[in-house]
Amino acid sequence: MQLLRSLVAETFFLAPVVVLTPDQIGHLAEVATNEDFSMPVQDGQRVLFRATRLGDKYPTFDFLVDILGPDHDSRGVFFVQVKGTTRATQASPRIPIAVGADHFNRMVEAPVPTYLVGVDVNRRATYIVAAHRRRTARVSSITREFPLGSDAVKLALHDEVAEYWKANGRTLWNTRFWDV
Amino acid sequence: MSEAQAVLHLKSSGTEWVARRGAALAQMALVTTLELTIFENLRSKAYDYAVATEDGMFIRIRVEAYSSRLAGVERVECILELRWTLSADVVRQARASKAPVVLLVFDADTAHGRYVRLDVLPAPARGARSVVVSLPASNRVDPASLKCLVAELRGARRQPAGSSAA
Repeated sequence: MQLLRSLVAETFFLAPVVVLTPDQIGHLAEVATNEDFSMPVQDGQRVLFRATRLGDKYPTFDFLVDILGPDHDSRGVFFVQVKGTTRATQASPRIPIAVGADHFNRMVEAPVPTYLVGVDVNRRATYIVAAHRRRTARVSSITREFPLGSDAVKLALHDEVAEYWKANGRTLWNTRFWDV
Repeated sequence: MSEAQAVLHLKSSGTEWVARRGAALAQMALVTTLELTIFENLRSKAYDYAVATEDGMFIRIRVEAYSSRLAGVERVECILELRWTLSADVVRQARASKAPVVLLVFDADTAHGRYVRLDVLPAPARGARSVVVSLPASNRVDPASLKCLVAELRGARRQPAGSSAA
């Protein structure tokens, strides 16, 4: 999968350097993130995620992502915010992105697991971190420790969200809109 | 190279993730062809995206996908000619389109993609329900080839009417 990922990167992202608009950077970042979520793991044998773009009008998040069971049925969901950058350097262990504290804290307060994905659009590399605790300062960078193109990271992410929904899963509730 | 390696007739794997991954790969290919603006077509099934160039030319894009792993095919990128079966109505609609129509076919497993123009294909036979289209290895989807295709379509559009008959 790593080889495939590098082939995709080579095919689509190592074009001559051009100046991108912020909208282009954002769009590239979202498309790269979607592509990484769509890529199966374990030599193509297991599809873990189904990412659905929420659209520009949806606040705070860019994707709702289902975690999938063996029959591709949804076992839970999480939200993702994507930030792209063209300023990342390979030498640095972190990639620079900018997320305001208020914005980040809105992610943290969502009642489901939430993650921030940073995308080095020049190298078509995506990295994920959890948005799990409030901050007083803005986020200015995230670690490269959790590349979303990695099978191991994807499997760990899938397990983490599955465990969340197993522990906090849907229970029967009393609805006022009873019918079927 | 044997005949089996020279030509391969592919078909859709019929699974949702393959279609979804095909869409993701198509979007990536189109977005990285940077001068294009992409619009998703929610209205009809004849094509999936309309892409616009900076000077206002529109191209319709249809996306299909397969899984080489599920099909048991190795090194699909080395096969000289891939073939894909389309509904004849898709080709009829493409031929009637005022904008060029391009088919992108992706392997969900390797991300290998090829393209072919549908609007310039011969008319399907009367009563035909399906058409087999050829995807040669030279029509590989990458930013350079898509830029060439866009430039070629733009050039054709700028030719004055009747110039090709002169």
